[in-house]
Amino acid sequence: MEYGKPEMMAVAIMRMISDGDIVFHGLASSTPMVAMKAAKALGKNFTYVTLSDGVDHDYLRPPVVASTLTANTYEGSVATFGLDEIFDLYASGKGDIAFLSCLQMDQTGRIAMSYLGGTYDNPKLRGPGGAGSATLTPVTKKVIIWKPQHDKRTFVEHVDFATTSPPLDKEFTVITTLCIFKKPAGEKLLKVDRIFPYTTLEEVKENTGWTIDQTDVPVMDPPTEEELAALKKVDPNNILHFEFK
Amino acid sequence: MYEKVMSLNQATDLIKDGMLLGIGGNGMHRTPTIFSMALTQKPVKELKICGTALGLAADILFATNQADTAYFGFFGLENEAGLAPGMRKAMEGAEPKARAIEGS
Repeated sequence: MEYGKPEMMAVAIMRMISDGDIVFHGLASSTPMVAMKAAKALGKNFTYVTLSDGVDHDYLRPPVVASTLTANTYEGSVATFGLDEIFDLYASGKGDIAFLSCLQMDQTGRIAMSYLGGTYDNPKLRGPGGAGSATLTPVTKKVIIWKPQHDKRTFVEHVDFATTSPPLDKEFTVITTLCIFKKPAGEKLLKVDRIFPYTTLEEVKENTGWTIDQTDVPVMDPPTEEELAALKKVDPNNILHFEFK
Repeated sequence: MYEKVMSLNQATDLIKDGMLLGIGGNGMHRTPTIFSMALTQKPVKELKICGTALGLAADILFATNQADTAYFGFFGLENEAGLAPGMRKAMEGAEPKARAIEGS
């Protein structure tokens, strides 16, 4: 079975989830939505919370559009749990994973979501805002950023205005179309944790705005037939590809 | 509750210059777009808009320059339509007509 960047990213997301985890994604998050449904289809026993207010919805109800706010993330839920309650849960330290994204990021994991260029009051591009990321990032055990691009416009040497930044004492992971960056707890800088099978460390370096001095990194195992089948099962309308057009 | 049910025209008549409006829904969903469209037909201005995840209904009021301040955690049109064009037009550049008060 063939796969591309969308499937590889989704599989990388799926593999981050462990049994017993409480896992959140927000709005405009079609990639982790499909990946989390597929992780459920693989039998991973985690708790799925999102801002549809539903907990552990029926993952077999497929998305028909790329929104993460439609009925498919609520129908069949085992409980109703509002966004305010999700934030309280995570603030109490019980949230294991939050899947978040960014407009830009630098090697320290500082994330721009508010604006790009200019100043806060006179921005060149006004972004959508942090959408809770500044609240969730310091209190979540594992923040995982997914970004369906990997280029020097996104991964820059320095983010001028950080909407949020990772805490020193927690692990912080970034999944791109080419690789996984990781900042272990206690460290300040992102390093390449592993690259995907279809790329090279040289290509990652060429498309990253900061200097990567690593010379040898592991290659992630490609998606298995079972993982690809799970993605197909939960996403017959191929919403996974939306963010990669 | 019965007393709160009224026509769109009556509802938009309640809105006065400079009011702070809480707009519900998230992004493109469950947000009172028709109310905002009706409000564009009234001469109200300098509105302040707040919401958790502002979207289409709020964006209309920034596109018409009837709103000058947004309080939000997120302001956008989700994946399907991306960044909010009315908000961007009002807030970007050297002489913005609106400001963002962002809480995340």
